[in-house]
Amino acid sequence: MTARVVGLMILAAALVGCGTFPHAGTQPVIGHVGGGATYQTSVGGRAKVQLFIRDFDRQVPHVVLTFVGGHNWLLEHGSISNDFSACQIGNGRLDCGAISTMEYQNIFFSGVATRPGVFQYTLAVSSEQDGHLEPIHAADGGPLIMRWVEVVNAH
Amino acid sequence: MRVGQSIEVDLPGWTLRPRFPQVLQPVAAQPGSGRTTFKAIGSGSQLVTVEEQLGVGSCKYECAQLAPRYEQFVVVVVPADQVVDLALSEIDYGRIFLLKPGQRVVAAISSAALVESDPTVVVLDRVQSDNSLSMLNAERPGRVQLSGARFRVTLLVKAATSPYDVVATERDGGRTIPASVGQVIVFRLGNSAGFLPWRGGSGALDSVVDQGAPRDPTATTFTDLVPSAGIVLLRFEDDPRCWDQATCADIGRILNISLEVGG
Repeated sequence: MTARVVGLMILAAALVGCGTFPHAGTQPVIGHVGGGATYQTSVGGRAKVQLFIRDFDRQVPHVVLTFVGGHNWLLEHGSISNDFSACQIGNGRLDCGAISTMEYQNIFFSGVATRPGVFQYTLAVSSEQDGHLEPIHAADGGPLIMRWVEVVNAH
Repeated sequence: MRVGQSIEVDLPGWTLRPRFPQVLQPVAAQPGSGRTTFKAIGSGSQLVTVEEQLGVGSCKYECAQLAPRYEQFVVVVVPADQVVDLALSEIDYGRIFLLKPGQRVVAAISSAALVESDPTVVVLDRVQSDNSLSMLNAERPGRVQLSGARFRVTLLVKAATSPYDVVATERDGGRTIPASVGQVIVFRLGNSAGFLPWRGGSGALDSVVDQGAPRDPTATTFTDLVPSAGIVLLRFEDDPRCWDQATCADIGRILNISLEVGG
């Protein structure tokens, strides 16, 4: 009888604990990004983007890279080629599939600049679940993003 | 430097090993600070070796001791009444230097041993030269190779009004620039706030030492000589200053410039 009461108390304490502390799965994934991109080119010139994502603190089943803000590099360039990447390019975004914790994912693509201007790109790394994008975070708790400026000069 | 002048060497953690006290004489040393002052007492050149002694960590059995690191530089001392724009020594072997007409050069080699591929571009001053130093004057635009025992440098004398044949900037990114063999090209790439200075270039071009170039903290400058015909692809990069931080959102900048070099 006493043992049963103690068991119920432990179960109750565990349930209370679940309510107090969020489940680890609901915490945002933490990762790291870097790389480089063409800074200046001219209309008709081929611009490159060479990125890496790594150090995820747990496996992400479906990583998606989307451009946020006013400019989308994938829509500002033509003849886009996937030079070295497991990510699929389409619909203005990069679909990179599953990435594990130990994985170092290189993402190299290039395209031809189509119009002059100064373009500010922000590429956000997210986890897609059931059609919903959940931001992956940087070590400081902010969203995991890559920023760069591209200047496309007229001929 | 000139006879009578002093030079302070400030290399904390390094030990100085000058070998020819007839040229440089130590006059003050602060033990442990790595700071030593020498006075130039005679004309000539002196190879100075600095050695970094690396501490040995405590270990019990197999101890891997790091070999000491050496660096060398040459101090060239000219007579007190001489003024020179460029000093050369065997440590400059294989390098290319840019000069203007009227500039004066001292080479740490006996004038008797010095061989010039074209003695009309840079003219040997036989009166001021001796068996340790060769004094030369850049007379006219052209290219000359100076050579001798363990000594070989190339001097490019360019007109003061047009020292560079091509000047490229970051606005030339993505472009193809026409060039010719033997031309001097300067890449002047603007530095940006939040980014490190530009680096890169190409091993397909020969780097040129341009001591007379004005110091410009707003740009990184690369000066190169075009050695051969063909297409040369150049890639310059600059990284954001936060590149080594896990939370750095800015990514590096890449600048690709092509040269189409005719013969």
